[in-house]
Amino acid sequence: MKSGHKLLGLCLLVLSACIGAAAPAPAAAPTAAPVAAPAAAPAAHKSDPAQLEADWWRDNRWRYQNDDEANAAYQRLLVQQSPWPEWHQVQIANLPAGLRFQMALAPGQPTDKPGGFGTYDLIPNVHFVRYRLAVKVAWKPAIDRVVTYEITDPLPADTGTVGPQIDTDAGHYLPGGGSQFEMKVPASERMAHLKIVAVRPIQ
Amino acid sequence: MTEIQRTDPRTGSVLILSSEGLTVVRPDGGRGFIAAPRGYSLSYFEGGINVVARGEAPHDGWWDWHFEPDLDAGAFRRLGPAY
Repeated sequence: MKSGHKLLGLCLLVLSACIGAAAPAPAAAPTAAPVAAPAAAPAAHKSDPAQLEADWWRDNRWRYQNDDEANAAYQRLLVQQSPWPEWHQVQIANLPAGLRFQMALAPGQPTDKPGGFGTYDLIPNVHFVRYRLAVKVAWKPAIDRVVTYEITDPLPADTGTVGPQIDTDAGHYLPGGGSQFEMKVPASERMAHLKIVAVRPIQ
Repeated sequence: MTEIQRTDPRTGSVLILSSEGLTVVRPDGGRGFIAAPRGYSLSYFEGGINVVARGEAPHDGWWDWHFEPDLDAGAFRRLGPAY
């Protein structure tokens, strides 16, 4: 019985190979899409203030008991620009040695002078930095590289989810939702906890 | 990789960045120095002659900030948070 199955399988394998060799290659086959396709291109249009608020409202109104509370939260976001969502609970943890993370850098920013925020997510492109990490243009006008760092000495940090932002300069609602942590050591001490693993360009 | 020198288009002065501050070399050869804001070390130029400085403690919840040098006053003006 088993040998019969093997013989049948072999015949099917040979047959499928013959059919495949004889079949014409499809033009512009869409099957070559990369597994980890980059996020869509950034929105080219600049939304007006009403649209920006509507976009935020769509995602966040439900968090508040009434419209007045939601409006107040929106105004707080505009003024305070907290990098954390309002529901964030501060959790300072010592990130362990060996943990790797990524950080987007600006042109001219030395890799040994990292910013204060990192992410556990793979950063595929600038669009991801803007929208998932909610980095406003005013905070980092240009981005050209991603650095993978590894923690070499326990690093105290607040860890959580990226909060939404309203980028009024760019006219974009940035939903956030990526992972992030904020280092809780003086800037001059950051590299004492880190080593550089890799650097790659992004667009 | 690190660009540590910029020319101010308004005055023609050359600005040389170090962690401690900006050295200003004026077109007539005169030199000056604008110290980094207290509690900050300059990191890199970003957006013309503006700089990003990294803090030893958070200010309004942010550790790193954009600063604009005022060459006439010899001081930095805080612009906004830097990521």
